[in-house]
Amino acid sequence: MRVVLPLIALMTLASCVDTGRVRVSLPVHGAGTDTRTFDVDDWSVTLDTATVAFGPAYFCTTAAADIDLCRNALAELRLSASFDALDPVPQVLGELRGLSGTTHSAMFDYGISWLLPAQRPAPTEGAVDGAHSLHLAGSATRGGRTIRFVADVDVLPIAPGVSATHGVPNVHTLVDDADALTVRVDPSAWARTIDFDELESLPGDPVVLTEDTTAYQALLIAMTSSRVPVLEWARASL
Amino acid sequence: MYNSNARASVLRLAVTLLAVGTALPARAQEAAPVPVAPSELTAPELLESVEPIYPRDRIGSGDEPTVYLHITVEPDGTVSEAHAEGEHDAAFDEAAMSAVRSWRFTPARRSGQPIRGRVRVGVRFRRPAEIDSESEHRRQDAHGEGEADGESESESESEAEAEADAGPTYSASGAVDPLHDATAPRAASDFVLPADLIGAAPHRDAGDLLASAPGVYVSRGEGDGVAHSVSLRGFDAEHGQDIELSMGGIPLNAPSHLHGQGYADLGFLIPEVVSAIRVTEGVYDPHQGDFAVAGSIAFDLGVADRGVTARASYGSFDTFRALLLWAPTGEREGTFGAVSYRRTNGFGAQRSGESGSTILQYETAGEGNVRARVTAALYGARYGLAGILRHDDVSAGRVPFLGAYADPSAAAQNSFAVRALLGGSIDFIGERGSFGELGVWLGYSDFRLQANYTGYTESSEQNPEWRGRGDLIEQRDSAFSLGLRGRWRSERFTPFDWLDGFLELGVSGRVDIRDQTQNLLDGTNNQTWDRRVQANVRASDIGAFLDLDLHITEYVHLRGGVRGDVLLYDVDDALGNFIPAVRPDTYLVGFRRTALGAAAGPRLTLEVVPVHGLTFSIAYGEGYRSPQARTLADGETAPFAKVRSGDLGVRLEVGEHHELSASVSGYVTNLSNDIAFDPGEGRLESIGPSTRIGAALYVVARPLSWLIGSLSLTYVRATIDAPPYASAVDPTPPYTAGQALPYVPPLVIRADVGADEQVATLADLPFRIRAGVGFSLLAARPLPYGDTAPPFGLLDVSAGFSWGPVDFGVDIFNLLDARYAALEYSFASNWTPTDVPSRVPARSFSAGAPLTVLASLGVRFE
Repeated sequence: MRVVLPLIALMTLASCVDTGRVRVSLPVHGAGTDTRTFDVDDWSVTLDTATVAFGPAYFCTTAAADIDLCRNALAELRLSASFDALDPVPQVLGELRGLSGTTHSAMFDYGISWLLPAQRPAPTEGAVDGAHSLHLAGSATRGGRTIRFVADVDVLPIAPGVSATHGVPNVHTLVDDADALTVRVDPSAWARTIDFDELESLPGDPVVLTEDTTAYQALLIAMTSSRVPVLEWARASL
Repeated sequence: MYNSNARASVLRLAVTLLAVGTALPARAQEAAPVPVAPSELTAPELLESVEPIYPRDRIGSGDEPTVYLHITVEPDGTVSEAHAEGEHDAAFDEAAMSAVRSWRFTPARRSGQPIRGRVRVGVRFRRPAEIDSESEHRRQDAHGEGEADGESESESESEAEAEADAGPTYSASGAVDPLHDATAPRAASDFVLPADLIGAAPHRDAGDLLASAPGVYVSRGEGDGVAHSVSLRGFDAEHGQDIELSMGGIPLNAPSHLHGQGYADLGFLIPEVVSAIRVTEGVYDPHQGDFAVAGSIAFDLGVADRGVTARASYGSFDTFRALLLWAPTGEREGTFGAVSYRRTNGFGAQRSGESGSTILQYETAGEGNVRARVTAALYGARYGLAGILRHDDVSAGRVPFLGAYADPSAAAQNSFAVRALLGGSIDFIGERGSFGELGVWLGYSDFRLQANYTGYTESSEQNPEWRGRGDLIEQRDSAFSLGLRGRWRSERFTPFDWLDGFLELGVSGRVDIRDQTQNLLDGTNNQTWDRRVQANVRASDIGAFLDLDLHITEYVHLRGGVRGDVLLYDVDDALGNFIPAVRPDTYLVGFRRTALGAAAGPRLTLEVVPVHGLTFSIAYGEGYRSPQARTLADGETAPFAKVRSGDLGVRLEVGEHHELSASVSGYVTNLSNDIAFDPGEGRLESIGPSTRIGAALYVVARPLSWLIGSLSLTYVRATIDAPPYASAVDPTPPYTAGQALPYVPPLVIRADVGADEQVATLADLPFRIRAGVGFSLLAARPLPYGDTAPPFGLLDVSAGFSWGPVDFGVDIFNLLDARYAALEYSFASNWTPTDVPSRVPARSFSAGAPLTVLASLGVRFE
């Protein structure tokens, strides 16, 4: 025993080492905005429904996250989940797992991913209605005329393994499990990019924004480029 | 008393051929001795003798043992069998037997006809310090320049006769082999593992013999066709990047190998022909060259038991091994031929394979003091590869612990290796301890690996639209190598009464021509879907050293010198300057460049010997590791990984026959540029400077003539000294002062115990039993990202017996059936391509072998 005890102590001491990073696991929330009514030019727009899917998402140490530069991600949300984008109260999306360290950029999908071996993109579990990235419904009024509209937007990655949105700058140093992430979206900002004059010429009530419409493409661009979600970091207190 | 003269002194050997008690008929089939009347016999007469080698590690002991041998002299005058009588120091027994086997006699005769004769020989060793001048005189006699020392010869004769009481007497002189003498310990962390120690516990293969060395952990996590992974006192040397490995003077590391710098596959070595392993932990010896970062390990080859041995083994997992070993009687231990074959289904999925190896060596004493040796080896292997598994996949039951991923890309993993070596050397033993040695060697190797470490994460660089076909990396590295070495040691110089020494100068050089390719393959149809490397590397290394060996009084020993190496590289990288598909071609792909660099550093050892058996030592040395050639730019002055080693320790030898020897040392090693395995590319990548600080204890005990045991404890704290290099992939790598170096086991414990004894004589044949135990314990290993690999212990046991020519044994590896990871990594991988991929590094491992039983049956004919 006189030999064994020091040996165990030595082995314990030997095992107490710092390898520079630790694994972290922290909650991810999705939050929207309560801006349901807003004006676009001379149109008065009201959003009735805005449900958006977010994920999977990867946070990378590189300045521009993409599939080649970010083979090893710092942290990831491996699932997708949809949430009410018209509710400013954070809603639980899932768990971000990863490592401590500094992230510089992010890449993510909106509920539709193109996995490496797949022939085409496909919705993931959290897709809106099991199929879409965004379900947006509302109305636009001008001069007493009201146009109801609805859009089911599919944000598709352009190639296998590539995220739909990539290279989103996001600098944050993950420390431990006390960090928290909130994905904040503003559907009104996306809707503001719609050319409502175009809707007047489209048939149907409500008008369905299809892929071949300028409005649909505007929403796509807004979601992936000009009005991407804000990724807010905070110490967990939610 | 151990003193300065002992190193270079010679010893005298008195040989007495005692009464010819029995004689054997000339025909071999009449094996049983036939008693005859002494008056009908003519005793054998010594015609030619080979000087024995005084055991190096006994030089300082002052021992003067007389070893009695029973030898059989064949009708052709050769010695076919030699057995030591009684209980003696095994080292002296082996030294005496090794020499006597090479002697030539006139045969015993009956009625004028040559017959086999059995005689008893007494070999007496005398203290080196007292017979220095005498033996020197005898050496001159051997050259025909001196006269026999009749007085001492008479003295030894009378002593031998007094003990033996009858018989004709012959004398011969012997010398401490200066080549062996020149490999005396440089530090407290300098070890020699003799045959009885490395054979005490069972070992899976020759590479596994290294497990008995202090501070070494050895595994074969990438399958039996890929080189062992070796960890040595704080260095995760992977396949040899940090350990200079050699066999009989032939270097085994492959510079700029595609799979890993310094790749050294020991698969070709046949464990039965390894006579000793010399382990230098640290770099303190000017002889140490490229890759001597953690240290150097040299395999000595030789076969003590002469004759023809055939052995077959069979056991767990349908493993079969056959060995044929031929060690012609009358030749030196260094002369033998061996061939082995092995096949197995493996201990888990995709581990089946076959391998074959042959090693031939001829060693002759030659004329005078010239000795020549030729060594040839040929090896081939092809084995399946189970690959690296994610812990979370195993925990979730998606893949068995000993299994492999059920995926076409994983199923296509395998390894293939061919190696041929041819080396020759001539050494000359001159006057007053001088010697010279010249050696040349040729090598050819072909390495091909198909391994998928990461599952489905890669995309083609040649055509970015090609993705998701599986990350099955195909690596091929074929090389032709040529090398030489030479050294010369001066006669002993004695400028003052209190000072004497030697000066040694040496050179070494090698040229390697390597062709390398790395592709991505589609495992289902073996189609190439990306090209990553296509290069031709020509690497040259020209080294020289100076080594001074000074004895300052009998208490202080100073050794050291300087070594310098010039390395040259000519790289034709056919895929260099790669043009991405998104860019227009404005030039032709390809990158050719040359580079040159020089590395030099001192090596110094100071020893103080206050009393016999107790040695304090302090050592410092600077070494280097050559760069991976393909990482060099044109005209770059070939950056080297510089290593600085310091060692402070004490060696202790206790007992008349060194029944107990021990060493304790503290050491520090700083490496300017460390490298680690990158599974994404399947090769080693730079991680920055690092430091190891540790201590080691090593004890060897021989309490009884039939019992040997050893115990080693090695502790190390290995840390990264600076933030890892920033890169496009990780511009701000995290770093905290004192950050641990991953993968390095901070504590390694090893114990070996072996027993071997003749317990009876049955039907006039000796009956021996043996048993062995080997135990390795690794403390928890730090992994990247705060993970830890759990500690584990491995217990191996063996037992067996021999009855005359028949030998039977059982080896049991991992007796406790411990479930452990032979290798652990942490990297991103994705083996479920239909799910959202994970890109965060995850713990991954290669399983170690479970309980394995092998039974062997052998027969040896002399």
